[in-house]
Amino acid sequence: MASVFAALKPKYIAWLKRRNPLAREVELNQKRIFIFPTSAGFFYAVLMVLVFINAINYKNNLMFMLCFLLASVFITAILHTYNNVSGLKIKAGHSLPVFAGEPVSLPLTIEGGQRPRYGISLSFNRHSITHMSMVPVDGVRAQVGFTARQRGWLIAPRLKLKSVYPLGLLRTWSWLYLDFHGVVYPKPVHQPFKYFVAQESGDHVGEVVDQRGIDDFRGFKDYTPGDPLKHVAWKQYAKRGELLTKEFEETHQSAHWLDWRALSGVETETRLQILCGWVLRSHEDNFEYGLRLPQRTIGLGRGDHHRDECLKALALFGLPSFAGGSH
Amino acid sequence: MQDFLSRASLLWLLAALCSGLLVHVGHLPWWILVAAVLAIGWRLLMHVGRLNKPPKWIKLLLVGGGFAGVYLTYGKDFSVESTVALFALGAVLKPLEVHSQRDTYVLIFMCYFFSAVQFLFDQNPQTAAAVFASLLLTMSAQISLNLQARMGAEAPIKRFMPARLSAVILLQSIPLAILLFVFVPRVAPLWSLNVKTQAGTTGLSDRMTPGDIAKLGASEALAFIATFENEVPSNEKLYWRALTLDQYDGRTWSMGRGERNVQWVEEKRAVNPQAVQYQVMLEPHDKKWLMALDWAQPLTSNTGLTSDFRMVSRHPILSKTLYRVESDVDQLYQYQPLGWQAKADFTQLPAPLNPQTRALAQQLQSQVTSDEDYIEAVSNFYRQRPFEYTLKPARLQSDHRIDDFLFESRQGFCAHYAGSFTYLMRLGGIPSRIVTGYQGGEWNAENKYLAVYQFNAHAWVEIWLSGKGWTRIDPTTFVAPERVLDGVEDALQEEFSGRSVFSSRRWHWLNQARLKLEALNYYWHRWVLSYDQKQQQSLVENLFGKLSTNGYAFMLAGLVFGAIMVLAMLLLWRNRATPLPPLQREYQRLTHALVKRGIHPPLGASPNQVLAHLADQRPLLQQEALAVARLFDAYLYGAKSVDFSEQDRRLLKRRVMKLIRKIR
Repeated sequence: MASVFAALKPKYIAWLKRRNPLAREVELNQKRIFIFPTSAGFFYAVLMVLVFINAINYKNNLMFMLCFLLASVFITAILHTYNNVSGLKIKAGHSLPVFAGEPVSLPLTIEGGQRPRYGISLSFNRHSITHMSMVPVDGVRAQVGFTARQRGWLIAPRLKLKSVYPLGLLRTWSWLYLDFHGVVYPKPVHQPFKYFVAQESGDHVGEVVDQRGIDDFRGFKDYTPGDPLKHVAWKQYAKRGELLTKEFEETHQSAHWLDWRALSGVETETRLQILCGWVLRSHEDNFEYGLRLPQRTIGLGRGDHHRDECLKALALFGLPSFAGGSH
Repeated sequence: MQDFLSRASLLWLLAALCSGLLVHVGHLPWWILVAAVLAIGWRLLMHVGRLNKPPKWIKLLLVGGGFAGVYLTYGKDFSVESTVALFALGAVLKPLEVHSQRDTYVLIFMCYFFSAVQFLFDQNPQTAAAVFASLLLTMSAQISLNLQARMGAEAPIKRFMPARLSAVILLQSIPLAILLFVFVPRVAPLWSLNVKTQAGTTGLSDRMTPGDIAKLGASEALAFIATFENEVPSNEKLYWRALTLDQYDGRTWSMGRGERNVQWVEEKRAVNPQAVQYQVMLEPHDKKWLMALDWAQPLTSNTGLTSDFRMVSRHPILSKTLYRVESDVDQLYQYQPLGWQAKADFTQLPAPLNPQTRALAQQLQSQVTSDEDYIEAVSNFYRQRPFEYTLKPARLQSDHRIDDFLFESRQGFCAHYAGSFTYLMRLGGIPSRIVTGYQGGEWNAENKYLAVYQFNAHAWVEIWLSGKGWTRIDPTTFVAPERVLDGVEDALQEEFSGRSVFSSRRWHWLNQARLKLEALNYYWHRWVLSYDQKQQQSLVENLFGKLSTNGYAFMLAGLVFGAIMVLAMLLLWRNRATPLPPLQREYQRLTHALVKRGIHPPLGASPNQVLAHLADQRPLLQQEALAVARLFDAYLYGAKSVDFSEQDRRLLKRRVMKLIRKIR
């Protein structure tokens, strides 16, 4: 039996995907909404049967009435359950970049239109469920947790929207495929720098130079916006109240290049991971650095923006330029 | 430890539990209510963190104590009360061990079931309203439970939102529930259940001991309600016969040979054009006897007539019961030949007691020649002596109590008169018996029915005359004719009004309210509670004609489906897309049509730009496209933009459609 399910699962997922293509925004309608009784719902049915048997045996008309009322409530509840999620709009926000293997909270907005909605939960998996007791008329922002596994465009798994409103007897759910326009950076691997030196006699990989510990502190300068926060002299700030930035002697006067070719022979993904580690390290140490990839070169620079550009280039290495390639 | 339940959920839940207990409060032992207060208090203290959850041994102690309590209160016999008490005990203790959503559902479903069980005790409209309120609270608890955010966190919703929502859900469910109630086929009980409730019922007794205190006259409880097809007989003809007592042991009159052979009847129509036809809605009294006017012919199945012309039911009357009767109230005698054995039985008297009475009988008999004259002489005896009709006579407890009554106290009510009269008849050799039942009733003019109460209980005499048969004589009328002409209330006005300050009959408006409530009760029972298989069949036949089983199933499915559709439409109406303003609608129609035909105007283009784009792509349509563009322009920015009429809307629509048809 289990193997039948296992065999059918890919088909089911493919069917779901055809029904719910990847989108930035999804509005729930009857095509996407599924409803089924919860275990409490089945228990409720047992309760109805009990009352019904008593009604028959005691020929008790009010017990009959109560039983039928309970049954009608169940049916009315189906409509309320459906109504509560139907017409909900879920808009994907822009995800912050994240390193592969790290948890990320994906932002999204839920709008109910003209009426408030109640008791809605969102989850990518059962470990992290975002529950909203109420979605007000003007919508609400929410974050749903998820762990990115693979570098590249962030492809969120199917998002489950679930609600047992109003009575907990019925569960309605919907599968959403949302595009968060996020990027997953490679998981950084920290290794000593290696340099690629071009020579007439052939390519040559340069010495391993560990930079740690040989930065020389030179002095303070006035803080200007954009200086790395790491280099702000907080102690001085606490003492004197002025913001100063520590300046370091840059032993490597000439900027360095982080080069794809320095890692020849290493498997692609691992290469990207090592390069990622180097970018982070260079940024941390406030080096001026550039990145050379087979089809892309990012010139020398430093700062947060430069780092992000390099990381994004690593993340999207070898991938089409937008996530919605499957549109 | 933080409570699993949010405060709102806990309060709703406890309110639901309390309402369930309140509905049952009339028959729960006091100690369960005390346990409820303690358990609820403990639960609340647990919520605020003042108390820990009870350790296991305390729980075991509570459960054990509860079982012991139920055993001590009710004994080991199974009864509805003891079962309900056990169930109540479970519900009361459950809050102490509610640690998860699942536990809470168990408690909520217990509350639902607990409400339903109340209907085993009574099915008044008041009870139904109370149960409905309890349902509402239970459902509110259920909703609140579903809305609470996470472990115990309070949801940011309005405080009474759960109650409002559950009221909405219940009200929306009622039409479908009524439909199901009316049309879902009723089946016979799956197994036979004759569990009597332990509640005492007031009513007639099959024994009568004149001389003991007046019990019957005191109760204001309803005995039954009668609805007449035509005119209501006058008060002096309203003798509701229930029992005959023909055995006397010197103190007590009782039924001699128990249930005589009974002629059971099948459901039938009235046959006697001279008879009055009426329906009786009888309150449960746990016995089999039924009340009917003299001389009755039952018309409802499972009822029958005994050889002494009493109406009986095949089964004990454990719930309100409706039956139809026709009675010829103008027929004075009921002919029945009596054998010598029967004659002996109906003149049976115990060992020689009451010497004075015997002497009186002998004296009277020596003066007369016929039975009729003897009866007249005895009647005159009552009329000429200073007898007093009262509900509070002196007690008579000597061996010669008939002597005491006839010659000393001369105070009494129907039982005394009927008893002593029958005694005198039997001394004169006339077969006779006491009949008990009810006399009169209260006419409810507004609702056109006659309500008969326990204080209408009465006893009279039937004597057997050769050639005629059984004849009714009411000796009470010799003394207090107004008892029968005007009813017991008027005859005993003083005693009645003096009985209780709180008696609703003393206050006019209260009396009005009482009559209204009674009428509500009557119609409730007439139309809701006595709805059964038979009525269902005739209703369905009237509405849909004769249906086969399949036809019935289709009919039911269709009705239910229709009801659900109507409800769905009403509910989802709010959900519909709001219609666009007319200009936008035409704009949308146009752009959709273009896209469908492979022309993609730039996003967010104005109608003008869209049409210009169309003119570019399909030069042949340039003229028409520009004309429509001018129309849009006029409506958007021109004079027409102020008063855009229905006519304009139609014109624009026509032109747009025409243009669309031409696009290839």
